[in-house]
Amino acid sequence: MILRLIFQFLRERPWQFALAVTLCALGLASAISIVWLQALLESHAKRQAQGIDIVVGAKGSALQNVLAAVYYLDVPNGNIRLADVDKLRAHPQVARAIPIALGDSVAGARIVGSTDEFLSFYGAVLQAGALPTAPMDAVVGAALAGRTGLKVGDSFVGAHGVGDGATEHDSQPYRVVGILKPNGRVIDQIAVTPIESVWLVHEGHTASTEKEATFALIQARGPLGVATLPRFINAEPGLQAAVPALESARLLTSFDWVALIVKAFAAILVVAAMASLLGSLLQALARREPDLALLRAMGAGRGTIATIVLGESLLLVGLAAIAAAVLVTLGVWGLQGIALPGVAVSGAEGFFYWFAGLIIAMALAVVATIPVLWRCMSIDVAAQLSSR
Amino acid sequence: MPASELLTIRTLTHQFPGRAPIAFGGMALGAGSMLLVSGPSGCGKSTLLHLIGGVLPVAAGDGSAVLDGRELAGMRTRERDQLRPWLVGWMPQRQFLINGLSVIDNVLLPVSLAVKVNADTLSRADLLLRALEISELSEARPSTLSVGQAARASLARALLARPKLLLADEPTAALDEASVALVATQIAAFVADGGAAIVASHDSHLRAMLAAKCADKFAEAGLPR
Repeated sequence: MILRLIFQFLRERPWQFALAVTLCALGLASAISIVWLQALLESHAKRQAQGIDIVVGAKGSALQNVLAAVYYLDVPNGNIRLADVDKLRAHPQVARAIPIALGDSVAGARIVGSTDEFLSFYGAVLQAGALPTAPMDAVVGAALAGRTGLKVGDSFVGAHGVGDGATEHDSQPYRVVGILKPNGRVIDQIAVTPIESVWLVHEGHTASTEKEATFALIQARGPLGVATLPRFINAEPGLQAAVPALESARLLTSFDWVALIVKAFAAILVVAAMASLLGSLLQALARREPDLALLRAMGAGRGTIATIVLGESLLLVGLAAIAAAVLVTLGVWGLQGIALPGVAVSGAEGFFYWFAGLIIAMALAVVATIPVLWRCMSIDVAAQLSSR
Repeated sequence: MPASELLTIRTLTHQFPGRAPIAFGGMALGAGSMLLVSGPSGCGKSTLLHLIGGVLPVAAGDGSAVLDGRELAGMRTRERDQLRPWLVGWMPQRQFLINGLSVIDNVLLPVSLAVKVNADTLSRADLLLRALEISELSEARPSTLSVGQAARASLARALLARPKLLLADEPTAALDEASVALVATQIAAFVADGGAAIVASHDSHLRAMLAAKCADKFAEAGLPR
């Protein structure tokens, strides 16, 4: 009967109930989305750097080298000699040294020249076609293929550089020989070609006659290697070591205050939702006092009345949480398609943030219900029974 | 207290904040009898019922009222709540029914708040609704009932748990003659079955009916202004 009473009380004022659920759901959904998206972007950034212990590039800004080599977000400081990469590969503390050569782009995405090891390092799996075997062959990442419509058999022209000022290498088109399956890493967004393609396209563009790469992605043979290799690399002329984990942490630390503001904003949204819940409950109570007085006269103890009011509050928050889950799912799905292509979204992680939001909202709902319960406990039953 | 007396009041006073105290004289009520409490509006008829029914607390120094062997003076809220619905059946002054529930759910309310409703309770509810001639309205919403029908549903609810004492506060206010007759008949039947009833009313028509139907079981107490 208590459950029926809760549902009946809610059904009696459907619009007020729907408004309270909507406000609560919007507050919860916004808060969950903010926190989840922040975590999603952080884990996405970490995932891109996974397995890359050190980035070796030309001397200059270490952060710039990491942004350019790991995330393809910046321009490199310069080139390094391929012979230096070979020398690094021979170092006993180095497990892998993968040269990559940048320079061109297609539809704003990097064309990365490298070896077969690059694709296996990122765990690339073909969705269609084959791996590149000859210069000017290219495999295209899933997101890039989806965005540009490139498919096996197509050809495209690389533009020198990235961005609006890029000039095209019309005479040397790339052939699409394969399309990669999406894997949530940066290769979803790029085209990969043998490093020889980059040399071929840029023949005569550089003064150097030596074979060059832009970066070497280094995987060390253990923590000792990660600790000692940078000093060794930095001692080499023209080489600079950058540790992605350190540079990313440094970058994120400088944005700590943004994270704090974002989280505070999320907390304000949840508290505002709970304040609207409290207002709605108090308004409902004012109308329902005679009914609650009647229940008391029928023998319902204060505990029963408290259970009804609390149950109503928790049911409201529960429904709002379900609506919030739908909103967050739609929002993240939409963002993934439009603003965050290639960001791997974990459903389990989303459920964790939703569940944490639900628990916090439930706890806050209990707190928000205390003033309502207090008023319920002080209802003058005799006066109510005599006054209507 | 003699074995047959369900309720014994020696003296009882109650004071609402900012108002003069109301004093009630001694009275006693045994099982199978009824007491009509009459008096002008504001004389304290409802207050007396609220004190006996445990809706209002009887302060420890405000006299003595023993209901079914339990002293009401100084009784805790939880104990007073437990008087209803098994010992005291309550019919409020107005037809308080919860609009979100059907008539039958309103009638079952006091029992269903306390225990799981069983077949016996359902059958008694059906019996009461038939006796009060509203069985065809059992699934109706209270908002669709006339005042008389709602009053009868309220009486059915008060009697459902077979309480030892029925407290009816102005049960026939604004009722038509047919409804008054049905209410009076049902209260008389309850008393005839061994129940005790206190009815607060200044309805002379109801008084005449109850006096006729309850005969020697009928008693009357007038409260002064």
